[in-house]
Amino acid sequence: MSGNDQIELKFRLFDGTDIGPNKFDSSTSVGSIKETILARWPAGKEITPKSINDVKLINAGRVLENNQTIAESRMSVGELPGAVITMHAVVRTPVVDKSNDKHSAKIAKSNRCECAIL
Amino acid sequence: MASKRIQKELQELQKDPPTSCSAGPVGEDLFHWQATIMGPSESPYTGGIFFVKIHFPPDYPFKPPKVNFQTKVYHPNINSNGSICLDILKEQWSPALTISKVLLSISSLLTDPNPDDPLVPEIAHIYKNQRNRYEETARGWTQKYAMG
Repeated sequence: MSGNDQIELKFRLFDGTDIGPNKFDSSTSVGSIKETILARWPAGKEITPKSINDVKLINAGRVLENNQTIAESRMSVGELPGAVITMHAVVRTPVVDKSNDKHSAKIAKSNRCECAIL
Repeated sequence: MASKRIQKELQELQKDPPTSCSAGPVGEDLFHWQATIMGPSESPYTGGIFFVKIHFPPDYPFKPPKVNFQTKVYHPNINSNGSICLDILKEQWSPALTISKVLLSISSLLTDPNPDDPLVPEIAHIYKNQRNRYEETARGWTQKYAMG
């Protein structure tokens, strides 16, 4: 495959909304994809990442590194040729202050979830 | 048969994955996958990314996949080897289930542990009797092992 292949990517956020799909050159680095994600982050979200290090990009169960290219981040088998690839964009949340923990103890759930067959 | 079915599930995941999980083959082997589960927001696992390994048996989907946590989790139904006590991975497996549904079930198990069928009785005991302590420890482990 040449480095000029175009790949269509879509990014799924924590609340199920998507950014994209957008076409990228397969030689684009994960870092610059994250820049695109930051620039297109929908307004009014509960969480908004400030820098590319606040975002983790996950594809096929793997966290992608900023210096990888899309071509390197793809699965080696089973990919549907030409189809849009959906990746997850996860925001690294700041570590919660431990002193607040006591207040967050929720009311014990009385009806536990029985294992249901979906 | 098995590989066709796995391929189909993979393509569905590529097109429209659940919000909280991502999965795909590790290398060239379609029967050996890795997955990530994002800690559910209404649980002490929130903010964590949990890595999971999946092995499909040759007679999948007639036999369930083997699913193991790679990330340490403090949970009554997940032990220190990463084994998961979940009925649909054993006797309640059905060929109509998919890996996506399995991952979603694991995600709801994180939110709602089942302490009456525990894999780690000590954690189940703490979950039942000292809920705050359970939540604090689970949160601590999430920060330590799942937020790297």
